[in-house]
Amino acid sequence: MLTYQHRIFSIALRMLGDRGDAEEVAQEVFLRVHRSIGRFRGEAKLSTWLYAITSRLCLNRMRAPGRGRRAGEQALGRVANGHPNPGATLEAGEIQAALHRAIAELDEERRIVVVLRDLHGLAYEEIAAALELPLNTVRSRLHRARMELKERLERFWS
Amino acid sequence: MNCREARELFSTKADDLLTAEQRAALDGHLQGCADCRHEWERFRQTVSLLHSVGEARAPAGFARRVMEASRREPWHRRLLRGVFLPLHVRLPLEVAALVLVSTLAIFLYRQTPELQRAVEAPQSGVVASAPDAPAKSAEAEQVQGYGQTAAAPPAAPAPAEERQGVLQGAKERDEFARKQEAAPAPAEPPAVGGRLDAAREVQAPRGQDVQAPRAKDVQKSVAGKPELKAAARAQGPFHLMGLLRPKSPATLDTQLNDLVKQAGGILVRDADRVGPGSIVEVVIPRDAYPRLEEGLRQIGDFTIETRAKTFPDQVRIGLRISP
Repeated sequence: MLTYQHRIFSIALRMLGDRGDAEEVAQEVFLRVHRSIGRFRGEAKLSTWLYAITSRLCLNRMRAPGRGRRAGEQALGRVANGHPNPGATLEAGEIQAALHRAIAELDEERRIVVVLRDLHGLAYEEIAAALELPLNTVRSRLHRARMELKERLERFWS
Repeated sequence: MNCREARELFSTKADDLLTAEQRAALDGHLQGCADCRHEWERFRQTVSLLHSVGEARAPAGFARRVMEASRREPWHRRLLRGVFLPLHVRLPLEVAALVLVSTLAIFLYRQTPELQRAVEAPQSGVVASAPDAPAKSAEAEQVQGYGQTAAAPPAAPAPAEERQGVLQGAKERDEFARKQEAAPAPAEPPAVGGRLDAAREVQAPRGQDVQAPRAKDVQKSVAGKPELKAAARAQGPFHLMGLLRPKSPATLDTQLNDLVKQAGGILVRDADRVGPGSIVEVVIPRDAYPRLEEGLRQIGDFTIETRAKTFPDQVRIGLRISP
């Protein structure tokens, strides 16, 4: 758990945008693993299993009734603003904030792929296994997500 | 390669996963297309920016809180987890439980004659059901003998008329028992004598359900024969138990009714009509018994199963009709 705690919490935070929600989800992930570790037969990597549970719990929470899309977006904005890089310029801080807002505006299926691949460096195959998706679907969603982010951040590139 | 095809490869290029052929084609297109070069530059910066986002750190004490939570999982969660086991565990358990319960039920059914009778009773029409409290009382008395009537378990309350009849019967039995005890002991105990073995002597063969028809079913025709009615309600063991295999089951009811009437007795049925599987009680004066027996042998094949050594004035005969 010590090995993965930061990564699991980070994925949940980037997906949900709220530290309290992220901590709850991360805690639930490890509790489920604790209860089910006897059934883990090593056919998949432990990390893939953890990412699969984390992704599913995050998506379920985002789809839960009563949780508006705007809530997540606003929370992600707070996350960005609340964690400025101490050595960064004001412009860099703005770009970071804009990036987090842009990520928050992605639909959940594209967002999870970007979070796993670009923010946490998972391989395509690992993402496909965790989300139980074909490899080509993962590639396609990631490409569309990156193109969408590029469009949203256009003003910073001129 | 056109612009659309080139831009579709941007992600693969950003991840450095292009084949040599794809790389050559894309690089060739980008050299000649300023728009795509511009787009690629923006795309590359976006991906770089994404990669620059650092991993967030879990709050301090997170691991400790998880460990504590795993140790103090609430009871209702444990219960729910126990009830809602995963299907691959729950399904075999449920199948095993079903098989076990079924096997147990079949075993109990086979080992419990009462259950078998309870199932078969509605089909055969034989009165053997639990609500028949007076009959059960009679059965208990048969097993225990007259001298032990007081120890019999209390029966359900009976209608006033029946209670009176039972009391009358009890008085008669007590009187009869006193006479028997006062008399010299015979070599073979009589069927009616207040002794357990005597009572057993006139019981039906083991495993067969022989129960006296209910006293309340006594026909109205006995209105003029109070002594027979009292005997019918005596609820004691039969003085004679016989098996009748009728030649003509269809006319059995009429033939039997006529015969009993001619013998001056009464017929107590356990059902509307006497038929195969029925048990009837016949109460006749002792003198009329030879006539009755002769008549029964004409109706069918009549076999005496048990018989008391001596008959009282009013003879109670249990007649089983062969199924």
